[in-house]
Amino acid sequence: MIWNEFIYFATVSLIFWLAGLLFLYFSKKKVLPDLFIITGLLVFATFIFVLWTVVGHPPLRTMGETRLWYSFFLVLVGYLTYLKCRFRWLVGYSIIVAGVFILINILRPEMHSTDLMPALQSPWFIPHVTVYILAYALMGAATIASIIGIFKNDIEDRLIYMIDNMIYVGFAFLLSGMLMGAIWAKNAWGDYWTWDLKEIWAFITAATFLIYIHLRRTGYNPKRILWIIPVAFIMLIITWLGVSYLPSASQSIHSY
Amino acid sequence: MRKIIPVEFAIILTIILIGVLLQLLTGPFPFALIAFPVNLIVILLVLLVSTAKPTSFTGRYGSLPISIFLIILITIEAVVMGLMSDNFVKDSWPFVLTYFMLVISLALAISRRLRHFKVKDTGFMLNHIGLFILLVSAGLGSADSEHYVMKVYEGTSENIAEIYGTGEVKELPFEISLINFKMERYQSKTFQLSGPKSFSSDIILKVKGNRLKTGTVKVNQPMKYGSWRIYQFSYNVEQGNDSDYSVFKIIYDPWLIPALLGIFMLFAGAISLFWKGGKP
Repeated sequence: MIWNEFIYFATVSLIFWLAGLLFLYFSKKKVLPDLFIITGLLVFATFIFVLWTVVGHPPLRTMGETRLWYSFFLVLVGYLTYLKCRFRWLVGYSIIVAGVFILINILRPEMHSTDLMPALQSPWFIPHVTVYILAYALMGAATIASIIGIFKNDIEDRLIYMIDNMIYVGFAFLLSGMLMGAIWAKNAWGDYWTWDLKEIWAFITAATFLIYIHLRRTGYNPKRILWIIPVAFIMLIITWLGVSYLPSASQSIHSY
Repeated sequence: MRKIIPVEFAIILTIILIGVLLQLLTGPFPFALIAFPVNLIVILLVLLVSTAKPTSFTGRYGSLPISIFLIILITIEAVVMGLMSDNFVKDSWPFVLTYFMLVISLALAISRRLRHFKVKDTGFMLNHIGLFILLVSAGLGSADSEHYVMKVYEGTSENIAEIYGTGEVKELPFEISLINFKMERYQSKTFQLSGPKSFSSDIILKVKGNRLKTGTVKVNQPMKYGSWRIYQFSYNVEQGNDSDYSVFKIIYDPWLIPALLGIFMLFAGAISLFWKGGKP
């Protein structure tokens, strides 16, 4: 199985990313960090591509597959945001968090049969899962930044602006993912919203980020409002990984 | 932050408390009470109320602190819902009342902004009006939706369906003829029977004996007929491909078009959020 080779691809990617990070902090040559981080991303993308061809459909179905994309997107988001806002630590933390998810995948790949059940054969399947993983990656990066912000004595406006930026873009993805899911559900199961367990927690996640977005418009002390983001991220993790451990999970249409 | 308004907070909490009492005394919220035309009248009343001046007693419920308070309350209620193993919260009085107050607050917030509309408010309008339309169609509109299950044998026609969940039977305004049920399985890698790849039914939809529509119904591809949707639901699992009947889920939702309009407005709103990216 291709998953047995994952450890080699992942290790090579991580080495490139960590080397890129070291160059980012200690090298004066500007091109080195970019070169290493991009190479790491390409190695990781190669694995996803190979997996895709082996299973015969976009690998977006099992938990292990979503974690795979998440690690990739998180480093990508961290790196792109670095290019825009020049916060080096964001690259570092993104690599650490991506590393954690890579480790989970090595220890517990959670691979199942590659057959797609009829309900999943929908044109909405790929965009629905992709925008959600992108949203999760953006919100993950925003959470890292918010925790840094909470523990700083005085926060620069630049940092707050970057966090708001990630939350807005992340929320746009979160909302789109939810709406695509609604249209898909209408076609596959008949109702666009049924308060299925995953839907409930997706609603809680989105609503908590919505509280942050609205509180930011009140002119309240931003440092206090930042606390909402880690809380919202906990809700996000429950939605993504925790729901299957809740008592009513077996009734959910989202149990894979 | 604008001045804190404890009176409004207290009123909202009181209404939720009344909801809790109603729940304990009368059980779940009776959705049948708000079936058409009651829901339409309620929506018109909400629109009328939303014209209240922002500074008036009613108008203040469209303010930012009140909106945030209501979003926090519905989030807490959703957490309770998410931890319960049987979902009674979604039909409970306190939840329905919170949802409804959110709808009113949303309408008031929209009307506030509309008073001095600027082009840069377009994103706000798409998101908030879209959400309002969706919440109204999904919430108040759900009282008009009907869910049925119908079993049809190959070569026969049927117009009697069971109400989903209760098992009561009802005659539908159309009949379904099942011509053929088909099923494909995945190529099995072991000796076990592998899962279904697709299953579908060739059907004819007839109204008063007249052929109206012919087509194939399969998972993810329902047949449309006005506000009705016919879904491939089940079949004789033991017989598989040779199943001599097909089971359809039939859903009537007259509020589907406005709900989809709300969904598309929110899509456009999401693009504007992406575009704006949090700029103050």
